[in-house]
Amino acid sequence: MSLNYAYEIPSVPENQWIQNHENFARPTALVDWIEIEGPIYDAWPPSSHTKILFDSPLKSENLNDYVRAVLERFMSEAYRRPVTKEEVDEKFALYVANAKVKKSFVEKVKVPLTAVLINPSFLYLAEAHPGNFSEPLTDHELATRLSYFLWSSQPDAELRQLADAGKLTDPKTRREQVDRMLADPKADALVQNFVGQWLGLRQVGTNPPSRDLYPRYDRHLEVSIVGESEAYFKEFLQHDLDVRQMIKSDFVTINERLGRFYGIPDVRGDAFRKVSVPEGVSRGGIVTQASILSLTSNGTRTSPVKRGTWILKTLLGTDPGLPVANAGEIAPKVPGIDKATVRQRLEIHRSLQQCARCHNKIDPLGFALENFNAAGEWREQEAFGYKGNVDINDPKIDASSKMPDGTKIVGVAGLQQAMLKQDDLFLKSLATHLTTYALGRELGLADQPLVDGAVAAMKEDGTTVRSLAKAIVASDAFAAK
Amino acid sequence: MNGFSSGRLSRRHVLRAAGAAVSLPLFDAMLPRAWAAPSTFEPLPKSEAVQPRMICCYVPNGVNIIDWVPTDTGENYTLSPTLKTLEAYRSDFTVLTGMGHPLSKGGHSGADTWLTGADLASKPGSDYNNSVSIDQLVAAFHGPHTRYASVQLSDMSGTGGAGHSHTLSFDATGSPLPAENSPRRLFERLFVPESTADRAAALARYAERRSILDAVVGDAKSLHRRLGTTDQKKLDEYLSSVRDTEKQVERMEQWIDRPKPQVSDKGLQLDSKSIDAHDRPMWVDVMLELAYLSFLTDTTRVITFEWSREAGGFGMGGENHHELSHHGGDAGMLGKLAVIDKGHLEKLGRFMGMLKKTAEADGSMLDRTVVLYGSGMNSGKGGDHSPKNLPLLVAGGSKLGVKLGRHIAFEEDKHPPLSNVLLSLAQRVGCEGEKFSDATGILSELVS
Repeated sequence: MSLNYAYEIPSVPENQWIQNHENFARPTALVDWIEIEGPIYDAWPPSSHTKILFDSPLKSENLNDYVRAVLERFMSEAYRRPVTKEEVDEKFALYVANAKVKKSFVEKVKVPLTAVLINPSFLYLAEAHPGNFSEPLTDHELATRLSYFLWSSQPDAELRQLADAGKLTDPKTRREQVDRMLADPKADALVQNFVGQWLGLRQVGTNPPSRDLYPRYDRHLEVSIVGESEAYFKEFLQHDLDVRQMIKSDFVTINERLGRFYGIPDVRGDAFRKVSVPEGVSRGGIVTQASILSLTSNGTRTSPVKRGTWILKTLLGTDPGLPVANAGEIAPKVPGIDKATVRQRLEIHRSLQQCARCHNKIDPLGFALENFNAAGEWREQEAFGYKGNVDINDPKIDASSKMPDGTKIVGVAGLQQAMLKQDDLFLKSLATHLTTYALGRELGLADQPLVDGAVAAMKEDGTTVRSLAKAIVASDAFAAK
Repeated sequence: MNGFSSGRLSRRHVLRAAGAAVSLPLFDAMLPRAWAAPSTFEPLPKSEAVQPRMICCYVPNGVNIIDWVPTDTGENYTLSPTLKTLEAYRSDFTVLTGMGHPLSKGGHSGADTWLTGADLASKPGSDYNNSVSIDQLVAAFHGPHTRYASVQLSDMSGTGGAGHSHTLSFDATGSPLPAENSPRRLFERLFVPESTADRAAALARYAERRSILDAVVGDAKSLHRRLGTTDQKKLDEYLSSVRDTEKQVERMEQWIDRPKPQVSDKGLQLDSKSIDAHDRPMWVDVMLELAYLSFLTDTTRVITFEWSREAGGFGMGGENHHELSHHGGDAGMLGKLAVIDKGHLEKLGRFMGMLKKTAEADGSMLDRTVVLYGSGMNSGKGGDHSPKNLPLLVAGGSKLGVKLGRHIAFEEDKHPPLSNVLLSLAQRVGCEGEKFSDATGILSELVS
């Protein structure tokens, strides 16, 4: 039994006035007693046992045949394909060899089952086609690709039956399966694993905003901001919303903690739900989410360069390349300017030609987001005070910038408008990332028609994630090694 | 389990009525965490294990390099402000400056390549590709004679992520070897005898494991034949780990009749927590004490110890180490960083002191123990995260041919690869290999 709690009780209460006053009245919960009963099983032996050692007359008639049957069913599920008689025989030999030293039947049968679970055919998704790259996949390999794409788990009974019947080579069947599979709760894995990799949510918390300067950022907030981005994508996936709204939407998917953090009132409870963004709150869209904003900062201050690079790579599908050698860190102080803002410290990117070449494309995107500090909070001034407090004389945020083509944008709203004008870039980027995820390999030049085709198909069908997934799944590339 | 219903008084009723306090077993989580107290451990007077050995200690985030590098060189060099902490052991260590791994990017992936010297981006199409670490070469040589071929210690257990390694050791395929961070678990593994007294049962268990592994290898080989070359390489990693598991089982069979050494846990703060800022000094102490005991009992001859993973760590007063490495040249932050550096060297000095106090053959344990200490990145003068001019020092090993008591300086843009240091030390500890990573030869200034 273990008690697992995800939330660390913040050592710094959110209201700074209270910080030094421990003896103020606040609600307290006193636990009188806890009673825990269990474990409680629906049936004994539990279903995990009977799924493997299933009921059969063979059990009493012919134990050896029973073991063979158990092994065949277990192995075909584990290897995700039908198994040959030889393969079953080999494992059966293990059972016989160890049967003398084991006392109970369960102990004896565990030996070959263990061998199956450490077998490479179970541990790896093996598409055994030596050399030739565009060989068509077998039905069972297709079933595996589909289930690991949408569920991050192995094929279920229906997929296996379709594979046995040879139906999955038909793109139409695969498209139908997408609808069925997305409706299954296992599709949450697609949200977590794809979004975690695409937006970089897995990196949240590796370089967190410093406790000293951002006392509101604690474990509960960290868990919530990741949940927000996942819930956001799930909203688009399950309700077939136009994905271009991910750039700018009139709603957010938040819980109570984020409601307080973002300044959106009347949100109660820890669950994530769709909330309309009230007037005056600049949230709604991936670039306004605290997960992204804290990820693209360096723990003590914002990093417009990181933010610009992130937008270019993640949302617009362009790689700005690497900095020049010996670029070094930006200086914490600029000679002559007291309280130099991050923006001022980056001036050197514009004054040096070899830096400007790339940074003119990167920095403007980051500057537009300067109203969000390193923890993702909205700010009007850049804090220079003790422990991150904002002093009355601290410099005001300048979130204006000039795009490479000359357009002037101001703040996140301007950035979002500029991105919407180039929405094709976003669609292509999303399609590239989802295709990479589905195929499990890097895309090359030869895959460009696939991506372009997927985007075109998306647009004809509501520009939804579902339509994109279907286009990918129905493609030739999906059905080939 | 299920049935306290049907007719009888349910347990709930009994409890409520009696107002009884049920005594639950005392879970770990229920104990008020005893503050770990400073160590009272005393080194033993004599060591019987007259063997060469090596320990590599890593600190993250670089050091205050301005206070670290001595201004002059040679045997009569002046100790720099930070190195003054080790004044009492002046003749027991050598400091090397200006070196680095030419192929490494340093920064916060410094720990991944500190003992391997690899270029992590060397394989096209692969995000991360590491190679064998020097301690594993030594472990291959000495391993057969000790219960554990090598031991990996860290402030966070497991392997960590690629580029944020929790371990300094990588095997022949470049896969990380998981580290241990709990002093108590480490003590149990090294010194507490196994509970299964039944020798026959243990041997039967090992035999079963071997037969399962045999079956698996057969299947893997037949799958190997049907794969393309890139997939075959992936499967090779798997086969290698299967072979390692087989070797481990064989080793357990060989050692079944040899009891673990009897070591008392008196004075050891085994409950110090690695990631607790308050416990930091106690935790570093106890891990080094366990390293000392491992060497004393010849339980292993190769240890790597990552004092903190990169971008992590605390100073001895609980300060956040990583933040200070982003000093940007600020004098206040640099000053605080120097305090942390000195705190670390105090702990290192204490460890060297323990080895020195323990007599061994014609000298002390320190004479046959090579201690490597350093960081995989340099925050330089401006807070950047450079792989150049890494802080590095070598202590002990005087009877193995290590030249101590001097400052060996190189220019940061023109120096022999750091792997030369690693190879030189590995050879002094007995390893016969002549090639390692990007090493170009032996560093004659450091070893004879």
